[in-house]
Amino acid sequence: MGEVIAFYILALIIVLGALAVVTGRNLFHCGLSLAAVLLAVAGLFILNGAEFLAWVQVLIYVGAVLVIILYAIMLSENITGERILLISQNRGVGFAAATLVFALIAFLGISLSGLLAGHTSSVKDPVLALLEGADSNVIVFGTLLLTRYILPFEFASVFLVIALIGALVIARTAE
Amino acid sequence: MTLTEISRAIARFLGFDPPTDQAAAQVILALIDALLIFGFLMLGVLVLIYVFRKIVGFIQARLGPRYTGPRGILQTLADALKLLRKEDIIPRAADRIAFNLAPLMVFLPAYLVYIVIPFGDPETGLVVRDLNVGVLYLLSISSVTVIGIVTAGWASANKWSLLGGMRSGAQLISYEVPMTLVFAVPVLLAGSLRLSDIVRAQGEFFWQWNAFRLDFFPFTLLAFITFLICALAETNQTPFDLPEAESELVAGFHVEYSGFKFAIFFLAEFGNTIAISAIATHLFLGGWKAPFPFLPDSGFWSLGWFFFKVSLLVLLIIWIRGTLLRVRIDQVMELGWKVLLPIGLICVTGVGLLVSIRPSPTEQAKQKVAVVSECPVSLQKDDGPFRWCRTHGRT
Repeated sequence: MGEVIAFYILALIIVLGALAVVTGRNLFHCGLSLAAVLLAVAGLFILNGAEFLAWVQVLIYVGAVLVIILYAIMLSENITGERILLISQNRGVGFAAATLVFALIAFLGISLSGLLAGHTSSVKDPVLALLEGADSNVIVFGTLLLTRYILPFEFASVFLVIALIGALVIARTAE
Repeated sequence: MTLTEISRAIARFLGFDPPTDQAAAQVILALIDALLIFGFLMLGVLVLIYVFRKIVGFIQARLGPRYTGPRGILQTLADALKLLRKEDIIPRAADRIAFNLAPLMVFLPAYLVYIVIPFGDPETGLVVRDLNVGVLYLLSISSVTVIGIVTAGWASANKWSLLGGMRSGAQLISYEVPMTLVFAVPVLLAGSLRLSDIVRAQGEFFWQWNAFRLDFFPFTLLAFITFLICALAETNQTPFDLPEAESELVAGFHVEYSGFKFAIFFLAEFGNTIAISAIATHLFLGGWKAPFPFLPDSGFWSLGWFFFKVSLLVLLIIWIRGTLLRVRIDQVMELGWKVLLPIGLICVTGVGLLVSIRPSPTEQAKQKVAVVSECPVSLQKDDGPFRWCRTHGRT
């Protein structure tokens, strides 16, 4: 019961916040609404028992990415003295695209849940078996990340380093 | 009496007789817990500000507060009341929504941090929620503070506050990186993200605590010092108080704030100082443990030891604040990125290497009781990274 109430509160925050992000006129307010959305998504992760993912979401998206976004807005708006107002011109296209994506996700979700309901008990997923033995899913998460998913994990870190160096190079030449 | 028992007693006093399984009763208990933490925060900050003024007065050869109450102990209370009665001014050009939200966004993280901090041995019940991802929770919650400060600086529509907010944002982000790295050192040593596990993994004697332990000698001590420097920067304490440098920025991001909202900023800053000292105590100074095993540290003794260590760290911060000069902003950035970040990387790599080569005594003890069979067979065959699973599985 409590979980259902919490879910609806979080869902309401996410939907209203996301609407505010795309329809808001003031860029800074859009950024703050995005913060609310990201925090509520972290709340959804907690409801699903993924504490690690939730706090990493807060740390990286709210604590780092969003701060950079706000920073950029602040620099462009108050230093140049221009007020940037957002006027979205292609709302219709955006609405249509959003509806399509929503329909796709809903369709996938419904069909997948039907598939999963068919064979839950037959084969036990090794990941689920790991989860049952551990007292926190962080350990399982770390183990899997450094064993089964080591290649994507390392690839992602190399990719990030490349992006970082690329950004440095671009910033240098612009000087 | 534990924290839960206290909140239960209060609930009973208020007329609720809460059985634990009822959702409503749990909500009430959680609310009482929240209020207790809030009370602690207020009381702690009240005491801290008085002590701070007295000590800085002593350092600067002044007397500090004297007239309100015996030896001036009521001065902070009087100041708080004065701030609450002041007129709340919002500049005409300010962005009203963001201006009003910003103090809340700075205060909430400072308050929420206390949820996972054990005030003593958690077996005595001196913690609200001993989360299994406690360290990560601390990092992520405190990283939200920046948004509040940046918002305050932007919404005031004042160039001083804007510059202050920007400096603060840059500084907080820069020092978060080495801070996160050195947070990993005690986590690696304990093999857990739970704060109480990190404290339990540290030895009984004070030279076995993470800051002073000899088996990982240069790395853990370096990590502790790096943590202290980052803590000063994250809480805007003196060598790094550029976001509110009076001589150049008037008061930084909170220039335009007055009355109650200013009081909230102030409260958050001092609350953060206590919180960061508490975190340093748990991560590096053995938490609630006594420095020698023959001294009592069970039950409520643990509370005493915890507050003793936290007070020492807070005094150290005040001492630094009263002694050192403010550094320049480019020096702050250089220290963060060119000195502390490499040191943090060295600490993490060094400790990680040592842990993987020779498990520390606490690790070995864990290994003995670890139930290997709880890992699936496919994972047991392989050594290497899977050792993690075996040593850190359920004991």
